[in-house]
Amino acid sequence: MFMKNSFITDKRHIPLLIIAGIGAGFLNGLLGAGAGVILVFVYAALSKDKSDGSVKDNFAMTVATVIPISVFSTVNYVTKVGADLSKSLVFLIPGAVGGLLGAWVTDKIKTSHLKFIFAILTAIAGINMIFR
Amino acid sequence: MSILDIAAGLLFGALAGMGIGGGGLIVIYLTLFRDYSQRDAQGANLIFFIVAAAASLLIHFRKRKIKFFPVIFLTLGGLFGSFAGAHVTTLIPQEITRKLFGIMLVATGLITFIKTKRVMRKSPAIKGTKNF
Repeated sequence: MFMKNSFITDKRHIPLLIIAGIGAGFLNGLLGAGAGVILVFVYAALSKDKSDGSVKDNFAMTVATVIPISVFSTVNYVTKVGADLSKSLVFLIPGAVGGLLGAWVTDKIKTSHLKFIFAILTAIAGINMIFR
Repeated sequence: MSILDIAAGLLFGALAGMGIGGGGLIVIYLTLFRDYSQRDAQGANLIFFIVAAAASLLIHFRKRKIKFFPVIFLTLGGLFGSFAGAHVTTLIPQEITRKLFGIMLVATGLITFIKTKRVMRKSPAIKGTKNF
């Protein structure tokens, strides 16, 4: 199950995987986001297959990795950081519905232009947050 | 809860499910338009992402090939990193965390911009799919 031709998965890589995981988890714990940015690169580096299908497989694995890390980070945010999450619960149902819809349409559309617009808006929002 | 909150939840959930932008969108919305503190917004982003991503993963797991070997070790490292990151976030002022978050957004935006531009140059719209 672990050894597939299209994917570099070797026991020698375990320390590197753990270090990369620590980096991604640190960002997730520090900023409450960002682990996916690192992990998507790690999975892309591990994958020999660069096809569109493989990119989507890598994304699915990134999500599978970020979820448990985010669960742990959330527990830390409530118990250590003291974040109040009660106000945020209203977003969960629309978020779940949106998540299902997003995953469903992923194979039906090519999202390059949407990503392009998203990238520009994200950078603008980032500059706003830095200088606010 | 306003209509805008529901629309934002649906939109950000869908974008997370499509792999366009999970990290930070809800933080931008909550800090810029809903007057949340940086820590509450980061906590909200974590719990929102868990729900939206878990919903999308239900579909991704059926369609995608998940290699569990790297997922396990990256997650393991991620849990340690997350603990450390959440600890560090309690030690620094929220003003600094917000600026760091802004820097991460700018970096994410630039990386996505460059990667998407490269992909768009290499592969024009695939036949049978709509390019959004």
